[in-house]
Amino acid sequence: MVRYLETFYRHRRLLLVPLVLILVVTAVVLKSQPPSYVSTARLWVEPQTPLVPQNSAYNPYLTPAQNEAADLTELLGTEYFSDRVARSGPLYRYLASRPVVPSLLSRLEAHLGLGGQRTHLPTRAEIQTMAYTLISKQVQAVAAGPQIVEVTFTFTDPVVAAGTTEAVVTEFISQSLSTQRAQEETAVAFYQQQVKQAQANLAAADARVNAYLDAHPDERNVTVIPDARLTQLQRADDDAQQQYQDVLGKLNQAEIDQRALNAPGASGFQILDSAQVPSSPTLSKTRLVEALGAGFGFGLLVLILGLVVLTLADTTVRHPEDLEQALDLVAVGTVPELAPRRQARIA
Amino acid sequence: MSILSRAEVRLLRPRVVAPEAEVGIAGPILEACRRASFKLGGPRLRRLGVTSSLRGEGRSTVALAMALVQQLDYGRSALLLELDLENPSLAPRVGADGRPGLCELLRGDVSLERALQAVPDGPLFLAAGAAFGSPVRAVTELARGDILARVAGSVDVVVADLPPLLASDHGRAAAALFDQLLLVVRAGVTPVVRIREAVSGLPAPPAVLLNGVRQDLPTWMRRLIGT
Repeated sequence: MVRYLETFYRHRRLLLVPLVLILVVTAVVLKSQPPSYVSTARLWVEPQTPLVPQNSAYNPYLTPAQNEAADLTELLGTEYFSDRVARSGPLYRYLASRPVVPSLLSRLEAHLGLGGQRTHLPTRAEIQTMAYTLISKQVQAVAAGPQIVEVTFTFTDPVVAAGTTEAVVTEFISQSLSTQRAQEETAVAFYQQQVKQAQANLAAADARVNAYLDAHPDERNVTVIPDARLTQLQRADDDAQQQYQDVLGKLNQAEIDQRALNAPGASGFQILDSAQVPSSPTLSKTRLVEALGAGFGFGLLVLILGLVVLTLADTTVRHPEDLEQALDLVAVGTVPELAPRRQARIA
Repeated sequence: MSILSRAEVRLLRPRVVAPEAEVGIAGPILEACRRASFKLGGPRLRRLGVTSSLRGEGRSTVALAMALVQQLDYGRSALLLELDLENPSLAPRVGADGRPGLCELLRGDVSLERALQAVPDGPLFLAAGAAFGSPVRAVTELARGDILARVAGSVDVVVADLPPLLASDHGRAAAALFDQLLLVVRAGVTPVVRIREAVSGLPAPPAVLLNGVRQDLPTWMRRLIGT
């Protein structure tokens, strides 16, 4: 350990140079990157919308904003959603207007006729891929509060950044509403089927009661105590009636819910802050810290490697103990190193 | 039987007097040589060869300092003998002539009295002189003859500036003339393998003087880690 410390102090300038250089290069590279603009939109999420049924996928232990942010993040990872966002916002047009510059090797291969690609306008598939990559990586959806979802998009063009953020929000609300509508349609169709079945059951029960009364006219007299068979049939009829009423009530509720989804604000979202065109580029603090941290870490690694190499490469004797350990020789004295000025005078 | 009495040696007038030529040895070097001299026998030291593995390790300076310590600290008559015949460097440093010296003495061109030079405020000095033929041959003749014994007999202690063991043909032969060797090692410069190679042929392990030891760590850190 002491040897390494001594080596460090002996070569401290040499060892610190790479560390400083790497930090400087990191800062310069960071500075030379194209400017990035961050556009942000904020959504208010209703905790419980009476008109909208609760989504069964909701985690009750999370806040509404966390649930919605998780849903949006999940959607952002799909090509379907990113394509919809790109097409409804300005991103698709922006990407379509920018020529694709292949790698130097690919261009060289194209020049030599070995395949490869020249600079060209992107195809539809390339645009979709680029849009997916951008949206899945550059759009962030986080819960900024219990009921606020914050959506940000970082891009090199401020107008596209704002437009795409807006498109993400709009598409997310639309997607959420579509999902709810589809669920309600399914529910209505299901309950309609149930009502039909209950109606048939009720009609059958009524018919059985009437048939029994026709066969036993005495039983129609209100003063006569109904026999056990009639009582049983009447109970079955009452049950069928009750079941029919239940299912009918559910069908009515499902139809009301379905109609309610067409009312304004039925999605349960409200755009608090719409995406604005950012006026100045932003250097993310996180990115800065990460880049500088990585630069520092790499520089430190180079420093440690340099230290190890210099220490291991030093096979000279520096202290009397080294003499005894390495050569089994005894030092009878040590002359301290004199300052260069003093040495020069002596010489 | 010595050719000069000790009193005569002390009274010997320097032939080369260079008032501006002072034997400039820094205090820390003298101090280190003082400790080394004490550990090597102090006033009982008779013949000391100062050598090194390579050139530039501070061998000549240490030899001069060791001779000075013997003279100043113990009041002994000391002779500084320059045996690095290939690359003599002591004469200008001590303000003496480079010749006549040992080579002339070996050839019989001059007498010992004439070859010896007195350095102002310093030890007697026997320069290397003008080499004749191979330095190995000169060292062989020195070993064969009685000149070294005569020289040693005339003073209390002989300190020789030997050639480096590895960088010179006659390093080992010259080192063999001295029963006590001091190996100067330049700290942080001389590789361990070269030192090992240098001492491997010697009959006994030499004492070592580590030259140019540097404290790389700042004081506060040395205190912190307790070194």
